[in-house]
Amino acid sequence: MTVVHYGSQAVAVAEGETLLSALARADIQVPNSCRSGVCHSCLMVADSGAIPPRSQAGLTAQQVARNCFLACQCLPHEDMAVSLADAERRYQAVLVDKQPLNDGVLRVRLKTDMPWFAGQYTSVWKSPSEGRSFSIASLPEEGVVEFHIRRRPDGAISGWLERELHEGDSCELSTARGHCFYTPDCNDKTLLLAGTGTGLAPLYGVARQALAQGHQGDIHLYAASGSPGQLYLTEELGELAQRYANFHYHPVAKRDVEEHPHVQQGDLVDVVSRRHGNLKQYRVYLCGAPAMVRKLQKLSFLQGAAITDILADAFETPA
Amino acid sequence: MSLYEKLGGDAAVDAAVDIFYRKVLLDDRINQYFDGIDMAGQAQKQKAFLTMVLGGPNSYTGKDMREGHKHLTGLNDTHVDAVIELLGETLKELGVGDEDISEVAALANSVRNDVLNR
Repeated sequence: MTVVHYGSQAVAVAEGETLLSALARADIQVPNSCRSGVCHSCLMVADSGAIPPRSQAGLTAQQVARNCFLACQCLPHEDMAVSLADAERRYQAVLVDKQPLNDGVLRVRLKTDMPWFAGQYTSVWKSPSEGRSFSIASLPEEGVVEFHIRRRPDGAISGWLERELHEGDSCELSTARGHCFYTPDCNDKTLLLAGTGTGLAPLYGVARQALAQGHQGDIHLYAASGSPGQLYLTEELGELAQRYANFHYHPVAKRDVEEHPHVQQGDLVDVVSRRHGNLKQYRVYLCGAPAMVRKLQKLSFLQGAAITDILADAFETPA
Repeated sequence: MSLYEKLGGDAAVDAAVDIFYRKVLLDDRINQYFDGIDMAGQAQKQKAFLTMVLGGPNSYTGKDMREGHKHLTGLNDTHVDAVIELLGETLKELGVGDEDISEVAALANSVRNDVLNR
């Protein structure tokens, strides 16, 4: 008999019993439907304890990396602590530093105990009810979460981050979410990373995580903006390309590229789909403007990328 | 043994969804209904549908199918016919024989009234 901890409750699971039915017996409601591992309604996360492999069959590489499993397929063989996959909690964070990366983008770094993968997003809370989502550009081993914030003079959260939150001040972050992060199962695939504006933040994280884990395939990072002056981290990305033979940086701008020989002029969707015709054996990450993300998502799929190899994060701006 | 098991279970259905969904997006008879929707979520629904028609473990309820389609204006029998045709082509590409394909088509056909909300 094993014991599974859910919140403050300890639930005994009998030999041969699924976690889903043991939790139901203890009046813990886990959404469920097919109870045969197909519908994924009963998705949970293991905070500790070994996960039976059978309960992860059919999950994505990103779900497996997050320790997700299906409660209906889980016969625990050792004690576990579990929570619902969409459970949210808040973490304390302390501002380490902030620095403008150009006129339009502010880099903000915070120290926190929250676990994350580079490329996921979290909400930064100014007050218990006022928060905004930002993607994470830093690797866990760097010890701080790094955000690239679009600077808006009248932005409720961006203005507060820029002017009111000072070094050493605290705020809250919520559980990191999203599947736009690197997993080593695609080690020999070509990575295609395409983003507009601060969509670069998660891609910068994914690319550096891939390089840190010794990714073997080529990595193509496309960062797009209206004009070349709006691009940022260009020197850092240029240096990465110098250092790693398999890393390729492609800055793209819609206009005014005449004095910027390294910047391609054009629409990101056209530039990417023309350059990468056959996307079999690719893993594609798309972040930023929703219209671009949706167009490239569909094109990537039609050009041969498997649906599970396309990880998209559209940045919806609050009205 | 179900066709689901014969084809290779879960991983085979993933491959089938990739083929089937591409056909759907390229088919002008029906692709207007798939514009601008969440692709990953749609793929997951197609996976549940394919698992069901292949005889795999499923939680099919006519209610879900009815709820999921009733907001689609102008949906009619020709659209369902097109989907069943593309499903057949998908299975053919995966090496499934005609007899099995007819059986799958019959199962897919059994949800027609739910999809068309009648």
